[in-house]
Amino acid sequence: MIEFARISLIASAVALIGPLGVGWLWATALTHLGESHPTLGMNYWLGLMSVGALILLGHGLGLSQTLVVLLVASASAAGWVLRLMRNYQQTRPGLTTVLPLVPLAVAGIGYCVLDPVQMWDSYLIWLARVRLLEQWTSLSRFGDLGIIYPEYPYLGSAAWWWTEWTGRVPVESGRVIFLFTYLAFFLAVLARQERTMSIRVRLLWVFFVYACFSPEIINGYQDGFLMASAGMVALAFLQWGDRGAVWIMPLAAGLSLIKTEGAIVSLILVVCWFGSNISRVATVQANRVDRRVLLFGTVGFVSILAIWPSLQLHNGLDPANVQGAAFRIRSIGIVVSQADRFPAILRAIGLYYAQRPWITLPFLAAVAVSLVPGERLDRQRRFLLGFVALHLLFVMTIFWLTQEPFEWHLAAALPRLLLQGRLVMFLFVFETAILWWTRLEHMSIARQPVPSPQRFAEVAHTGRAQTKRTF
Amino acid sequence: MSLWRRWAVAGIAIAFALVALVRFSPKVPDRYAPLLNSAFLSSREQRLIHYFGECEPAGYGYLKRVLTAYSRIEPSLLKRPVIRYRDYNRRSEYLFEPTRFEADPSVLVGVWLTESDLREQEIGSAARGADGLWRIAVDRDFDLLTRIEVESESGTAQHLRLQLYRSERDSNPIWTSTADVATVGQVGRRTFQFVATPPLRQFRYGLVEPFVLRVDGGLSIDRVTAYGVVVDMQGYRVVHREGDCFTAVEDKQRDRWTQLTHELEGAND
Repeated sequence: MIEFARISLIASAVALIGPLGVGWLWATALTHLGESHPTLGMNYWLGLMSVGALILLGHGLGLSQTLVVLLVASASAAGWVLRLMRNYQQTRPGLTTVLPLVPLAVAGIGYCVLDPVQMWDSYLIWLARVRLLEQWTSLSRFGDLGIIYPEYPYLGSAAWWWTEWTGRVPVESGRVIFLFTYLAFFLAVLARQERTMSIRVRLLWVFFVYACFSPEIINGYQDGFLMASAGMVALAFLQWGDRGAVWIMPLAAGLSLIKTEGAIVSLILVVCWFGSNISRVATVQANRVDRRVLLFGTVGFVSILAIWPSLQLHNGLDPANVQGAAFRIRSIGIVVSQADRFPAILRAIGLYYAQRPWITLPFLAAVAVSLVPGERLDRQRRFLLGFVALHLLFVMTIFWLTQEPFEWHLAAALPRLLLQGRLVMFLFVFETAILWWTRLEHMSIARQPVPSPQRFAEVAHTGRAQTKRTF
Repeated sequence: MSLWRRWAVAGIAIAFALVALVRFSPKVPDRYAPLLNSAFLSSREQRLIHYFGECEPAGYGYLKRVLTAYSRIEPSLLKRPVIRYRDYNRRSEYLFEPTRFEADPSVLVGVWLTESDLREQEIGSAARGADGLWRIAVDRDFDLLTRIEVESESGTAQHLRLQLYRSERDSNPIWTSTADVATVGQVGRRTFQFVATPPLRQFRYGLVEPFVLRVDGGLSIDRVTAYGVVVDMQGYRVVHREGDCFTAVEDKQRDRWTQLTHELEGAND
């Protein structure tokens, strides 16, 4: 019992301290850029992504383990020093917010410490990388050692290794970072609505914290981590908007370092964000600052996307071998001959969502109330809805093109791939619920629902509510 | 808030509560039953043995004993014996600390393997597709494909030709064999053996799709059955056995591993 408590405490402390320290560096940098502070949950995720990316980059470039450890430790320590020296006006989760998460957190930590990583390929793909990082085996040797899918990136495994290594705890305990990322996402969602006191919104939030949870998130597989990270990027776009693109776009591209399909997920996020407000194109073109933000954001996005293929090339792996036997660049040439797969794919997706009414029904209800005549979808929800649609299309395309045995691949991978979009679906439901349930005075003018031109006139120009102006 | 809205909200809340109740009903899976045992909570070793077993399903206890003895003889920290299971490669070496990625073929550890897994056995029966091809779906790895047995009704054909493809996508057969039907001389149902000489080695590791057989010759085929060996022990000698787990060493390196044999036997005492 004492051993269990000791490992749980050490693993949790280490999993929080390192990433949060690096997260404070992000907070300082954003303050310096004149942006608003990230919330504590966002801070954690920013730090964790940075820790994982630093290790992956250092390892892939062949730097020594000592140097990489020193770099990460210094960055974290510097962040904590800055945090202690400056007094951030940051939203902290209150006791009433944290308490409902405690049972899940305790159960999750218990699972990570007590339940070893299962002997299934889906988990061992990532455990193998943690083990190789323990030995600091060069990336160039990954192909020779008989590990599963040596061409996969491993940001999540790198952060996992950091937790295990610094805490000197058994390897399975390092998975607590994935639990904390998941919880951090929900804390960040609620913190963004700090002025919202509606009990219904809080209940909905607690319901979804538990309903969206799945052991897939913490058992070592990376789709749960990708899901939480995609949710965080979406949240960052919602919070910082177009001006944040200069750093959110490269951050989004970081998803490609978690899993290969993260590259496409990040592309969908970016396209949907900018596509959600096409009318702004002219404004952006006319505005020098906006143009530069977009330019630097795009350069950063492409640069981060190029990291993993470059590391593969540098280490003698084949970047054209994107996803094992499932997808190769040449798969595109056979799309027409496999079009008859669509009915089976649609059936499987339908069955998946029919078995999960706790997300399907609220999502469909939110779509229904958002699209009724007279309602006007605001940009945030256009973005989220666009992501859900394009992600679904992406998942369908994967099975359309797959070179693995079709039925087997569909049954084995569909739930995990659909999991990646779950938190964005939740965000859509939550944003819609906020609009429906929150009193108008608790919302910024830009987020208020605009069901009709008449209503808009009441909201935006109270004194002219009776005017007949049309929009 | 209008009355209908209140009712709608209440209805949605009740629906959520019901779904949550069903989803999070407090049924503890069997897997976590030992959580009530304090020894289980205080020892990682016990947890690993609980989940991965002494011998089955993943042989953690037995492998640990072999590896402890092995590491006293083999100086490299990265080497480990070849580990074989009856179904597929479970990669249990990732459990060990330090993890040993380099398989040393001079020592083979069998986990949860019976004698029949080391001899020729039926691998599977083929199912005939609408395209006339025969497919054999195998959900485990095996080393050798030794022969294919074809049962057919009598006919007028002179020869029966069998072509074996590793998967649906392969355009070239990996093995072709012909049987002389006329020399069999039986009436009614007949059985033809297509023996691979030598056996097809390393036939199936990690593939999930069926392998495909084309049988030509104009006969009406009733049944096609594949035979093979799950773990090919040729060149190895079993030096230690404990239940369905065993250790074997390469014949030509037996002297080198004598100490390993002694240590394992000593561990049994």
